[in-house]
Parts: sequence; C-alpha cells; structure tokens
Amino acid sequence: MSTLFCRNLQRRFGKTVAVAGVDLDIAAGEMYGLIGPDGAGKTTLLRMLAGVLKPDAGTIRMAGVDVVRQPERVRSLLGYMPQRFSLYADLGVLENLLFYADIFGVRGAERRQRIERLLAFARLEDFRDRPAGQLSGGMKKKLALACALIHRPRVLLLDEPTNGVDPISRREFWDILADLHLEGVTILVTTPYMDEAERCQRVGLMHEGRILRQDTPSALQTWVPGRMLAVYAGDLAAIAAAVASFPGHLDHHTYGDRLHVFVAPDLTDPEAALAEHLRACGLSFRQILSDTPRLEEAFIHLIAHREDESIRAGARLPSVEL
Amino acid sequence: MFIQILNLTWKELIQLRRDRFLMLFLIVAPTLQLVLLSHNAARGVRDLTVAVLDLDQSNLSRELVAMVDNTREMRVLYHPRHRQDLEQLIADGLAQVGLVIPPSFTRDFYRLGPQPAQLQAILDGSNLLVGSNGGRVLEGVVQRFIADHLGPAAEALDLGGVEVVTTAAFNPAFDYRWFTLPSMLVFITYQVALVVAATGFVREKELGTLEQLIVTPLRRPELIIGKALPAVVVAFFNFLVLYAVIRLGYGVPMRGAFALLVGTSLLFVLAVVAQGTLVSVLTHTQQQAVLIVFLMAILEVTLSGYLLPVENMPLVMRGLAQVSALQHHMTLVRAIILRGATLPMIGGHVLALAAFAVVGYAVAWRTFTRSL
Ligand SMILES: Nc1ncnc2c1ncn2[C@@H]1O[C@H](COP(=O)(O)OP(=O)(O)O)[C@@H](O)[C@H]1O
Ligand SMILES: [Mg+2]
Repeated sequence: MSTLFCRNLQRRFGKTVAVAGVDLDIAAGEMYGLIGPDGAGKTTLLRMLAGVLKPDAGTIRMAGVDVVRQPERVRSLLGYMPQRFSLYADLGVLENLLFYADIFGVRGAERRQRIERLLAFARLEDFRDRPAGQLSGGMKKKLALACALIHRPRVLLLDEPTNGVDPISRREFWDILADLHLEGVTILVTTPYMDEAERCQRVGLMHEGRILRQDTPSALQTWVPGRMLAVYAGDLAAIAAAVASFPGHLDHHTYGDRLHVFVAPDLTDPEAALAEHLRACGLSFRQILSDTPRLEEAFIHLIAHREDESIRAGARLPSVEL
Repeated sequence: MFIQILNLTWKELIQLRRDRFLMLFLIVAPTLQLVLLSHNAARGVRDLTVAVLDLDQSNLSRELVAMVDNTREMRVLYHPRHRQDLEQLIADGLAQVGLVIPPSFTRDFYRLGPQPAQLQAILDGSNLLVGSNGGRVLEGVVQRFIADHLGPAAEALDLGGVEVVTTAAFNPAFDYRWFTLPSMLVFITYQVALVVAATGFVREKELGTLEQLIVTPLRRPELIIGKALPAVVVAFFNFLVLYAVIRLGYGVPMRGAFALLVGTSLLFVLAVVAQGTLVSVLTHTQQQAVLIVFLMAILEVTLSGYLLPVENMPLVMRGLAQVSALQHHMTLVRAIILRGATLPMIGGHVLALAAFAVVGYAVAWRTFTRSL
C-alpha cells in the first residue's frame, strides 16, 4: 500500500478551481516530483496533503491515516516545508531549531545530537546565532529543511524548496534530498526546474488543477510525438523562419546556439530532408543532429496540446492572470 | 514631480478601497463615535438615583422631595428609614445621591430656629458625574423651593430658607484623580491586553509562520492558549505596575480587598485577551487587527461609564453597555477601590466577565478551526 495516497482531491477558492480532482499514489521511499506552471495548484495540493488546508472533496491517506479527518495523527511522521519562508526571522538559526525540537518533543542529548547533525548537514554550523531573516536565500531554504527534519519524518512535502536559490546551493540542496531518499524517506517535491524534476523517480505534470501525466522522467520525454532535430547555426532567426515551411514541421524553439525542431515521426531520414530544405532556402548551418527532447519540451508540448484540445472541444481558453 | 506624487496618492487610494477593514475603520468608526458622544453630551445629567431620609415627615418636607423627584436630573427611588440604610444604598451603588432632611426642617425653614434649615446631601464620590453635578442640581432645586414658599421679599431679607451641606462619600476632598485614575488603570490594562492579543496570531499569519506551526503536534486549543498567555502575562504585569503608581504616586485609597481586585482584574484580562484573540483569528494583517482594536476601544470607552455612568445612559446604550467587558470592570474596580465593595456586591459584574472570557475563547477556537 502506498505511503501517500489521495483520490479525487478538490479545492476551490471562490470561483478559482485550484485543484480539480487529483489522484496520487506515492510508494514508501519514493521521490516524486511535481512540476507545473505558476497557478497550476501545486501549493494548494501540498497544503491539503499536509493537513493545513481542508479539501472540498476527496480522500487523503498518509501511512494509512486519514489526513482530512485526523490531521494531528500524521504530525509526527510528516515534514512540511511551505513555499513561503515560514520560520521566525527574528530568532537565530539555533533558536529556530531549538523551538521546533521542543515543540516536537525532542529533548536532552537526543536534541543536541540531532541539531548538530542537521547544522552540519545543512552547512549552517558557522551561522548558529545569525537571525534567520538575515540568511541568504539558499541558507534560509536549508534552515527550513533542517527544521522540517528535526523530528525525523518519514514523509517530506517540499514546496518549491529551491526557488530563488543560486545554482550551487540548489545542487547542494538536492544532494541533501538524495541522501534523505537513500535513507528511505518518502519525498514529494514541487519544482519549476526541469533539471530537478529529472532527479526524481517519478514526475507528475500538473496543469490547471489536474495531473495531466505522471511517469518516469525518461518516459515522459517519449510522449512528445515526432522527432527532435537540433540545428546548429550562426543565424538562428533566419533558420527559424525557414523551418516553418518545412513539410512535416511541428514546432521549434531556440536553445542558445541551436534550434530544436520537432518534425513528424513518419518522415524517412528527416536530418537529410531538413538539410536539403535549408540549403534550398539558401541558408548555411554547421550541422543537424537527432536528439531526445528535454523534459521541459515534453512539458510545454503536453500543455500546448491540451489547450488545443480544449479549444477544439469548445471550451474557453484559460484567462490570463495579471 | 507633482504628477508622480499624484500617482502614488492614487495607488494608495486604490489600496485603501480594497481593504474593507480599513474602510470600516476610516468611515464607520468616527461616525459611530460622533453619534454616541453627541448622544451623551446632549442628554447632560439625567436620572441620578436619589435616596431620601425624611426625618421631618411634614407637608413641607414632602413637597421638597416631590420637587427633587420632578427634576429631569433626579429620580427619588428609595425612602430609607435609618441613616445606616441610606449609607448602605450609596455604598452598594444603588443610590447616587443621599438626601437627609433634618427633624427641624419646617421650623428652621420659616426662620423659627437659630439658622436656616440644613439639608444634608451625600454624593457618591466614586462617580465623576454625580460628584461634579449632584450638588449643583440640588442647589437649583432649593433656590426654586425658597422662591415658591417664601416669596421674593423673604429672599431679599434673607429670612429663613434652606442650605445644602454637601459631602462626597468615599472621596471627601473631591480629589478629581480619585475618579479618573482607577478608570485609567482599567482602560490602559484593557488596551494592552487587546492589542497584544489581537496582533498575536495575525502576525504569524502575515509572516507565514502559522503554516509551519500548524504541522507541529500542537493542537488548535494549545496554539490558541500558547498565543493568548503572553498577552495575559504582559497585560497583567502592566496592571500591577499601574496599580502601584496610582496607589503610591497619587495616593488613591484602596478600601476593598486587594485579592479581590487582583482576581477580578485577572478575569478581566482573560476576557479581553479572548476578544483580542478572536480579532487576530479573523483578520489577515496586523494593520487590520490594530485598526479593529481602535474601533473597539472607541466604542467601549463610550459605553464604559467613564464619561457617563451606565445608570444615566439612554436605554439602548445601557443595553449595549451590558456586553462591554470594559464597562463591567471599570464599574467593579471603582466599587472595590473607592467604595470597598465585597464580592457579593459586585457578583453580577464578575459573572459577566467570566461569561465573556468563556464565550470569547469558544468562538475564537471555532473560528480558528474552521478558517483552515
Ligand atoms: N488562499 C487562496 N485564496 C485564493 N486563491 C488562492 C489561494 N491559494 C491559491 N489560490 C489560487 O489557486 C490557484 C492555484 O494556486 P497555487 O496552488 O498556489 O498554484 P501553484 O503553487 O502551482 O503556483 C491560483 O489561481 C491561485 O490564485
Ligand atoms: Mg506554489
């Protein structure tokens, strides 16, 4: 039986449907990544799973406990790190840790040991007395994680834990999560970064309150129909204009020094055909390689595809929120 | 430059309009205050409760009593038979003015004795309004009484007549501060308790720390109590310091039991902190909470009996005053400090405070549980 389980979870705020029926089955020890654009409902979903927000409908079970009915019973096995910084800014690093240790009933030698371990783990030993509000973005996030880990939870819910953090701290943070994963902690993490999602065992794509697809990161990439070709060239703007008229062209995006072109899967030898087409347009390029699409492209494709479908089904386009 | 200032002003106005609480504060509160205060001011002194000890029992003395009763300012409600009964009525706060008509009243009035008749007026000196107005009202009645019965000639010749000898019970020197300081003691304690409690929860909400607190093993009632206790401690400490200041610094007497004052004050602080907690649970920002506290303070001061005793308020306001914790506590603190009241004499007020505390926490708890 899965450690974290929910069925048909729903929540609206006034007219906004934040979560529109989500099912999840996360196995013990699994690391599950939830990606989705802003406003997809990730935070709302996590808050309901943590027992902080009551769902309008649906059931949640964490280690067999009904979270909606008895949120108190999962407190000791759950660690939750909200999206917003939620520690006491005027208390020091150590004071914050001591406060949460006391509330969770971690006392005496055990308390000292765990705090030392977490300080080392989060590389905050040298900042014990610094007020939490004066830490850098990355240190704040690591302190928040340390506080969420003080009672050795078996399940971790992390809401955009690396948002606004520099790449090196992000890497560090994910190394910490990897250690926790190896210790057998079940982790559900939301992230806007695709490279982070690729470090999870399973990824769910959330959009407009629903989970569109969930699978392993490598399987998600194969959902993009067609093949992806990378065109390396100097004048990408001219190439982009020309590929649009290539027969079998589906989509394209620029990527630094190259252009990713999605083409219909039934073409034979698409590299050669595209090269021919570009030369016919009088354009020069360095090379064309076949490549696997990145998760990000799979993600954008899935969402764009879904919006096309809803237009075809006569549904209104989602309104743009300012 | 000037345009930029206007842009900023416009943005501020848009934000103000969005904040319903703020609008409530900026428009409704001052209007309410104006209406309530003008109501009080226009009424002036009214319906002071009077107990008369008539030792003369003559037609003339009965006419005087009727004349007192016929004024707008006074109502004769009690006719005690003994002086102790009269004093008890004042001590219990039932009568605000005690009037003693001496046995020689008729004789002295018609100048048959050695001096004018002496009316003894005992005013409730624990009450600002009575203390400062009771004597004046009686003087006016006596002037008319003399004019009616002796005529202008007698008056001009200074024949016979009545004079009023006024004493203020509980405050013989009419020290103004004895009225005001016990009330200020209560009001400041009230404000501190309310502000600290009202900003407690909402600060955690605003900072986002409540989100983290909720997933700890602390249960909802524990969270509420944990946030309420600091406010209780701070406000109660404040009360003790202020009490020492008015006793030692200003020489205000303490006629009742200190333990009773401490016990009721603790109950009062608990009740006010309950109200503050409710405000904190209902609001979203500290600014909203503070503004609501201001609004509450304005209303409660008007209803508190500080400016106008509850007995002398219009009926509607008297009803509203019954649900004001500040009113109950101010009344009972003045009674304990100046009149030496004991628990049975102030039992009703104590019960009211206890009820406010219980209801306040129950509602705050329900609201908090539902808000998540
Ligand atoms: N407390 C709230 N009150 C009103 N609307 C909310 C609240 N929380 C979230 N929403 C709305 O619900 C939708 C989903 O938000 P959220 O769960 O924060 O998405 P995400 O975390 O994926 O960015 C958004 O449209 C957001 O505006
Ligand atoms: Mg979010």
